[in-house]
Amino acid sequence: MSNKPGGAKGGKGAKLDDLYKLKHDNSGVRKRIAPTIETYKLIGFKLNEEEFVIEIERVKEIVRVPLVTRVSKAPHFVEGVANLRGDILQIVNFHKIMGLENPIISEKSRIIVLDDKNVLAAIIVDGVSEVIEVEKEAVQQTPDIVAGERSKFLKGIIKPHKHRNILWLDCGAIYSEFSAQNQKSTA
Amino acid sequence: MSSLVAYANRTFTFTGKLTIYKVSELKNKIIEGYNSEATKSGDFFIDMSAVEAVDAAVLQLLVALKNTIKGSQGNLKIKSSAQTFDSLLDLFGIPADTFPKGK
Amino acid sequence: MSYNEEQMQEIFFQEMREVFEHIDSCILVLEKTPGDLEIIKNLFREVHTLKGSSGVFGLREIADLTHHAEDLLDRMREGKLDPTEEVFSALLRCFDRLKEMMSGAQKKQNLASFDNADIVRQLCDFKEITGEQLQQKVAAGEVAPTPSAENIKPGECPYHISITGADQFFLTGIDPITLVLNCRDISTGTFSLFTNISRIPLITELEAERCYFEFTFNFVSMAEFKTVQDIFEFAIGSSNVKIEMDGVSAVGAGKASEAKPAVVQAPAPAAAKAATPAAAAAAPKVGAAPAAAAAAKPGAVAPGKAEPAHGGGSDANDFVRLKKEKLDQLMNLVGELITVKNLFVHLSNKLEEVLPENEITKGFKEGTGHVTRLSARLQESVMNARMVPVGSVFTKYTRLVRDVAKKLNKKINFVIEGEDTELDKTVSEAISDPIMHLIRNSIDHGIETPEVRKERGKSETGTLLLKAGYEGNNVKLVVRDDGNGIDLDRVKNKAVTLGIITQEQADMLAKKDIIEFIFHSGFSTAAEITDVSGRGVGMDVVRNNIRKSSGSIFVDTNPGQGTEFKIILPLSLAVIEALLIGVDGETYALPQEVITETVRAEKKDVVNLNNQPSINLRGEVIPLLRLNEVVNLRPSILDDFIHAEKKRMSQAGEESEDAENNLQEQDDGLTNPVVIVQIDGLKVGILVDVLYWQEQIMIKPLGGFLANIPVFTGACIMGNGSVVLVLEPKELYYAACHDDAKAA
Repeated sequence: MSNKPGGAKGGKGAKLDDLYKLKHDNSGVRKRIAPTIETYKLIGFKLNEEEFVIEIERVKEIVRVPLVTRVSKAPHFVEGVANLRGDILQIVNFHKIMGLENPIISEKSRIIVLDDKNVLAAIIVDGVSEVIEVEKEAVQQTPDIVAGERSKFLKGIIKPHKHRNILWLDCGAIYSEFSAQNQKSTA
Repeated sequence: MSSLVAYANRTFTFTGKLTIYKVSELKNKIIEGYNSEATKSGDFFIDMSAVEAVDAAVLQLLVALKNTIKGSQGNLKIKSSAQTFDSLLDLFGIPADTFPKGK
Repeated sequence: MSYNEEQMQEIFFQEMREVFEHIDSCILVLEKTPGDLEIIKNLFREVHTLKGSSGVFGLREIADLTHHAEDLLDRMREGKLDPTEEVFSALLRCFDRLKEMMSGAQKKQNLASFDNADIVRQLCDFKEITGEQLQQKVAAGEVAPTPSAENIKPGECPYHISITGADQFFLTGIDPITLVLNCRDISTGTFSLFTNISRIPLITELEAERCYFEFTFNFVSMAEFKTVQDIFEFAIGSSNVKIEMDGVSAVGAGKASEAKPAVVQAPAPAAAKAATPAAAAAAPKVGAAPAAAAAAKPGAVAPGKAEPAHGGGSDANDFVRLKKEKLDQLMNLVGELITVKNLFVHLSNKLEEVLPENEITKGFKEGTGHVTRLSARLQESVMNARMVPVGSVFTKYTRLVRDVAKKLNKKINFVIEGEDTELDKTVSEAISDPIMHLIRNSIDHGIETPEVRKERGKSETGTLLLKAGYEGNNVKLVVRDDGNGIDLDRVKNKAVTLGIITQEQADMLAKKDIIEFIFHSGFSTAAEITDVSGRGVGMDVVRNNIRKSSGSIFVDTNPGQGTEFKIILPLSLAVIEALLIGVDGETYALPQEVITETVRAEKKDVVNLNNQPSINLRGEVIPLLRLNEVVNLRPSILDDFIHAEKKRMSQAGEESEDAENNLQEQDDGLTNPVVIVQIDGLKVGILVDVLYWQEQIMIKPLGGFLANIPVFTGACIMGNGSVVLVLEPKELYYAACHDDAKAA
């Protein structure tokens, strides 16, 4: 209850509100909820022994390595094409782009199909781990020591603890780089 | 095929598909028609009974014509409209009385 | 601490006295300055309080009368009613009556005894201003366009979007009608649009192709921000677009895709699960193309990839917007259907061989025939749905022509004809760039400056014609200018300089042969590569792009008079008959239409003429191409895996059942099959390892990273799900013949 003397202009509204509360149920009134902490949903995978993540929205699906048709004269990082429910899927050797040793295709190998407007492409990965939710603040800049040449493909680095580095891949940068490489090779 | 717009007796009669591809041509023809009229003051009319399509660019043109006519104490009235024109006005939230009905 | 009934009443009437005091002071001010919007708003608030409070305290009659006054004031503050003397005197009468009633209520009188009929009538009498007057007021900023005030349901968000500075819309191919329709589609409940027409000048001053409209949208939708932003994707680049979601401004400059607005009554946004923004329909416009299937659901629309076309504004309700994804899906299904249909055809044929004819085999054959016809018609319909008018591509060029002409001080009359001509959507997108280059070339090198033209007795303004039309089973596009024409001597000399031909050969060439050279890579006879024409873009790239869409380009020129480029494109993506062949363990498809026959050749049949491998075909010597030299494959990390997969598939019987049935029966180990192919009248032999069988296939273009491989027109999907690449015969032909030049 307000202790203000009645009749004061500032108190008028408050008084009436108090009265309303007595007579009315106010539960229909819109409330604004405080904005939640911004997080990202990322899915983790391995390229050789290194751990990476990308945004889950970028991922269309994850499947086993399908039968791939080789394409001659394709850019060096494109291993071939495959059938994804009627669409032509381009299989990309991302290890090559990242300067890693080529993957060894095994039972654990998967391809992560990426959702991009222009290209239906998938990258070969050595295994997929879990989906993690990471707070915006937890993502750090990639120190050059860790990333080196590859930093242009990374959005940041997540360190769950001191000895573990998870690199966040920047799909957009990858696509531009791929396209640039593509242009160069055919120019 | 009849031309896109013909002018006679203070009435602009439009035919066919009025789109951006034709908007330059329409503008020139409309100005021609308007200039040919000795008495600029007073109302002018539009007949759209033979119009198949109207797009935003041409709507703009008609508003511009109306502005010109209004400048000489008159209005641009619709003698006969087209469904497509009415739909466009409605879609854009432009009040129907912008182009009043009239004979 | 609580109030008892009496104390509450005491407070209530005290408050009401204060409200009336405020009302009185507002009226005093308004009598002097009737137009003061702030005071009108204040007055409205007080009256609103009056109404609300009396209602709460059961003073129904007071609330009812107050309601009419509130109504009037509401309209006044929206600018829909002018604050005239009459209006005020009616309001004053009303307020006086209300004071009386309130006083009566305090004395516990029966309020129903007050007869307010004529006051009410007076208040209701005031007409609103006309729609047009309101428009003008809104445009002049006197009044804000009213957003629809309605109850927001869970999952919904109010959007407020404003577009200004949209001058370039028409020139960049953006149709405002499409934007409006798209917004309307995703809105639930009332959709409100205010179109500001006040910027439109007099017709004599109007630049017909400039867009003077300004738009303000207010609507409620379950779509998430990104979906809405996608609608305005192209508009954002050509105008000032402001998108506010739930009162939170998120300027649509493409960066704010993570706008996190405060959620209204959250269940976790169903909107977040709303469709992945996918590219738009084949016909996302109010225009002349045939309607396509399936409407968009609220929250599930994401238009935007395609150029919204200016097909003319026929009735908006005739069209349904379609996500491009759905159309692609339909295409895929049609492709699969064709594959299965093929299977039935094979089976039907086999049955005929194996069993004597009976009711069942006859029935089966008939059914197969029926399915074949149906799938053909279905295919046709779906292809048709993918057709867009070529004008959707053309509108962009208007601006280009204007800009380039201005830059180069040339006067150009740009004429567009046949914009309604329809083309498969993918093809129309693919030719957009090539045509742009042709246009640039025309303006840059073709059409002369006004001075030069005058000297030559031509009109100062050059004409550039862009025409589309049908020719047989194809679409014909023409880019014609009345400029310089191609300088044939220069071309000849360049060819000689580049070493393509010798001087003597050059002198013997006919006009059409000389013109061919402009398509040579590295060829550009412009004195310098001007900025306008673009660096390194030559006619070779133009031709390649056109070929990738299974099209052809022809040129004709007359020195001093002009040049004409003619582009022929197929009306639809091909479902074609193809021959499946094998090379180095891989299968490829070769379009049947270029194949004249197949023969077998032994090693000794192949001779080398001038370093060109050739064979003797019944007395005719034709060049030979070893296909494995063109489609040679680098080793890949996937080789072992693929090998294992294929093995597994054949063991599991998944391989195409006709594997044994192929034409390889004749294989004797000594000879190789050679496929004789004829292109532009010239024959070439393609040497392969295996001939499989003939099949009807649907070609899907290779895009993305694989878009620039000339030797493949695309890929197709076989019955067993594997992907087979489709060869481009013309490329094979050039590969065969260029060996000549390479070796030399």
